[in-house]
Amino acid sequence: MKINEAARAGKLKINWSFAVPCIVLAMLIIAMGILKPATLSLYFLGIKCDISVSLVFVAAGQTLVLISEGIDLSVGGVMSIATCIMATMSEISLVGAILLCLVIGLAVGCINGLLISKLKMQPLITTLSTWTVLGGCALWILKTDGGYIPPAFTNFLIHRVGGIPVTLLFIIAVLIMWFFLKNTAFGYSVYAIGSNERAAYFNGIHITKTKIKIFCISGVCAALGGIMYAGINATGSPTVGESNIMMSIAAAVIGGTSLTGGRGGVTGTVVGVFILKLISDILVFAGITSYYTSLCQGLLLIICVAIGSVSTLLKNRRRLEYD
Amino acid sequence: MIERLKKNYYRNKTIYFCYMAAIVMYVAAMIIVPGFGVGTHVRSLMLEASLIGIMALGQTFVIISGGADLSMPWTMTGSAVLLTSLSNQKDDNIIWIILLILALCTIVGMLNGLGVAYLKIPPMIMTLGMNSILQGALLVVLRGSTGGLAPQSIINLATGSLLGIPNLFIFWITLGFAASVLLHYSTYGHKLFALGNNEKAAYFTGIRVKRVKMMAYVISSLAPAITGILYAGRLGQSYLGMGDSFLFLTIIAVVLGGASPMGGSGSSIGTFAGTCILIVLKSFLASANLPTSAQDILNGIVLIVAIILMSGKNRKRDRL
Repeated sequence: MKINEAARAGKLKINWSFAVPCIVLAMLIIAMGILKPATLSLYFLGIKCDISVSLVFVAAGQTLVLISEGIDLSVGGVMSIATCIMATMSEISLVGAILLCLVIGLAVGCINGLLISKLKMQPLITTLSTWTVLGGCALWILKTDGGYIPPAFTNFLIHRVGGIPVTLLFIIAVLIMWFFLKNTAFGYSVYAIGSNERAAYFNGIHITKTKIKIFCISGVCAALGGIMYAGINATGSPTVGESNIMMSIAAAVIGGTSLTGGRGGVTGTVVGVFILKLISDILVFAGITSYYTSLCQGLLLIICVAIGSVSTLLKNRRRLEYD
Repeated sequence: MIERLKKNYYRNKTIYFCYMAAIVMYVAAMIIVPGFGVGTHVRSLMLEASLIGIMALGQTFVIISGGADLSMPWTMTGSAVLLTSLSNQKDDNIIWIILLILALCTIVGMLNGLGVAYLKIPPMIMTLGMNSILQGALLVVLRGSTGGLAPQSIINLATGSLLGIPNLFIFWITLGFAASVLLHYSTYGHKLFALGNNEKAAYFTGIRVKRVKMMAYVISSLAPAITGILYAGRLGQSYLGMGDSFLFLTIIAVVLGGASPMGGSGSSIGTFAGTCILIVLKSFLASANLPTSAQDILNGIVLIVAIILMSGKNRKRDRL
């Protein structure tokens, strides 16, 4: 009752763009539990975490870029190239291969950031071109899916520490990192650039430096996503990134990150990733053909975003019709 | 007279530059690869350019309005698959089938426009979601099977030629001319440019912003409808996923032609040049006997360089 009164008085504001994905995820989990009670176990959670962890990393970096009113399509290229390097070079030295992947992610992010902030190029077009280059490089390293990943690395990633999956710990680590990052000066400047770049510039934020940092983080995250993918699936794939680009953007947007910048967060993105990954399962458990998967994913994407934008439209309806 | 020419030159600098780049690339390819751009090769270049070109024309409208249409690949696949599966290789009801396809694609465009203009969903998300909805819907309807073979009349239309010029190319030029007139010599075009430059200002001048925006999406989904029909005719069949490679190709063609992805600028003549550059580059790399990986790498590098050179004009304006 108290909450209701507070909400009516306008004191308690519900963040709908974050609440909606949480409600959807809860509904999905409950529906799964009813259809197949066995899914409400630590075992099933572990499997889901193993499948989702690479996308969580990629989407976390993507979220940061989206908050700053950019978009990063090159994450797909970085991810592909990371899996290819892991598949070909981890036999020689696992640590060396991982470091090489991270350095490549950092370098690609740096190039993207420089092109976008120094030369004022459009993020969409710039990262699209770097993605093409990286996709070519990935094909050059590894012609087809395959390669060799040390079993020790795979076993480490799918290991359960006292029943808790290692991949879940990785996802929690991403969230903890995000909570620290959000409250630093850098975190605030990312939001500031996203909501109004000019105002951020006049408030003394170094736009170029911040943007390069943002794209570097996104590149490194994508490389980590590729490393995780290669480790868990024990294979490298030069084309894996393509499907992950759109999935990472969709996950971030479902989780309440706005494409126009300045709003959102990685917490919502993790929820978004799990929603996207659970949809195909729930269709299987409900006995519906998997052909409906992409239909449902598309519908959910539009509905989640529409709820957010319609709620702001209704909130502002007393203002000019235009806004 | 010279003043006017000068003014014209400065206004359309990017477009001239684009044509020059296409010609230079073409000549360079002719010198490096013997037999490039001679005889039958020109014909195959024309055919390939026409299909991307028609879609890029539709994309131009949406990009001028400040959005992007990512639902093109599966709109096109849908159109091709509907044509082949409904006609079942018979020419009897072909007119009705084509009209049905155009009507369905108009509905897709209207839904895109409704979401973007009335519900304020970001264009990329709306069209991306629509793309995956169409993909799912087609898979559900067809149960994952391929579409089948195209009727003979459409095959004749798509592979035939008039006075030595391929029909597809004539289609492209005609549609490009129509788009040009619509963009630069009609009230609708002026409204669209006004909307792309400053939506708020356009609203206060009395333009029905939402309606104009929705029309742009309808036009941009008619383009893949036409392309899908012609592509099915050219290949003689349709298959699921035939449009996937077109996802970003059309946007690149429009941007190379001097349009800003932020909206408010662009032209069908520029898009024409952008498409030519893309096709000449792709064909050149393919004919130089390079492996696919090297082709992708070079393609990307040339794109980055081209876009850096093209965006020189906007850079000065956008500097803080």
